[in-house]
Amino acid sequence: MKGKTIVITSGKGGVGKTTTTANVGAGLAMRGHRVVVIDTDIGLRNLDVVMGLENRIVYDLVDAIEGRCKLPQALIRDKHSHELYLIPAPQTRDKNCINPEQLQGLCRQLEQEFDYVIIDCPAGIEQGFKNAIGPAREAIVVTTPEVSAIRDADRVIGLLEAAELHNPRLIINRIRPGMVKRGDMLDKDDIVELLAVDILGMVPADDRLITATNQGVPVIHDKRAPSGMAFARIAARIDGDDVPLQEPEDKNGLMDKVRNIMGISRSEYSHA
Amino acid sequence: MLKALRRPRGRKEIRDNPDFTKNIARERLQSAIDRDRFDLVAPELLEALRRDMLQTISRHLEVGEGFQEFEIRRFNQSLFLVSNIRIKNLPRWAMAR
Repeated sequence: MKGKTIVITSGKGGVGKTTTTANVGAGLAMRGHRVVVIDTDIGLRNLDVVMGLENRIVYDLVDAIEGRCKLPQALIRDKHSHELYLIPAPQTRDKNCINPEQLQGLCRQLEQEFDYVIIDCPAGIEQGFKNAIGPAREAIVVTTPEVSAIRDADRVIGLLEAAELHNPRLIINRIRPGMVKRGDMLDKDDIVELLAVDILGMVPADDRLITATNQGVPVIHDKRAPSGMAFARIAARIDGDDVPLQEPEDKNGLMDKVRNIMGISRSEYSHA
Repeated sequence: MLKALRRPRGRKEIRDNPDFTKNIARERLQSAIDRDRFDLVAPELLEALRRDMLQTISRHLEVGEGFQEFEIRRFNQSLFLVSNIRIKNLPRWAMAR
């Protein structure tokens, strides 16, 4: 079986690339696939801590590329999902210590063993970005509904096209339905129109994501988390299922209604 | 921030209404993105065009300092080259009237 390599990128930092990688990886593994996620943010690794695997690192991506270990030795088995593995980034090197061809060689090798190879791309558009998109057959762009993230997403989409990675798909993260409703946050239609790309999914801002991540558990394992459910639908779509898009909604509790009528801003995360 | 304070309460059409901050965001983003894309595809084009147009206009009219405005702008989904230039004097034949 020959697998597929997908890069998760954004341009801007802090929009949720790593969280998306962890949850999409876990989601695909929960669907019965063999999945490996690769942290390519050399010098600033985080996928390990988001997945709760920070204590299990022995070898890393650059060890595997430079032959200091065998490839299977750099694969860390996930705690929660069978058939999900992590290749961590080294913390003490920099992005220039590998090149796109090396990472491509590694991914082609992994594609022989795994159904999905998911690459977590570093922020920025420099060497680390070039390394990360090199091996990819598909790209997913993560943004939030903020002007800075959307503008950077547009730049990245242009660069992906230039690198022959056509038709990247978009995830809009940290949507706050109450603000969208009040006309104070760009909505899906605005963002899709601005960026002219296909949408892969929408993820609501969610307190439960933060508490899950605090514990090193991808939020997709929290069955009550709206963001986790959104990531599960995204994983299904990546896997080829025709799942209809679902706009994040507020739970319509009495207080939500009162706040809406009064037009009062709610606290940062609305899904506690 | 001020917009939010001035906004009247109650039901209102959101689309294209500048009272809603998301529409301000959309407009600003659209023009920043247009500009970014243009620069990416043809970084020299606007500058070359500006030079050529200034030269051509100067052959026919006496102009001032150059273009007051010279940019790509979007209006109702269409793109426009918006330029304007101050003319110092009308040509002699026009003054004779």
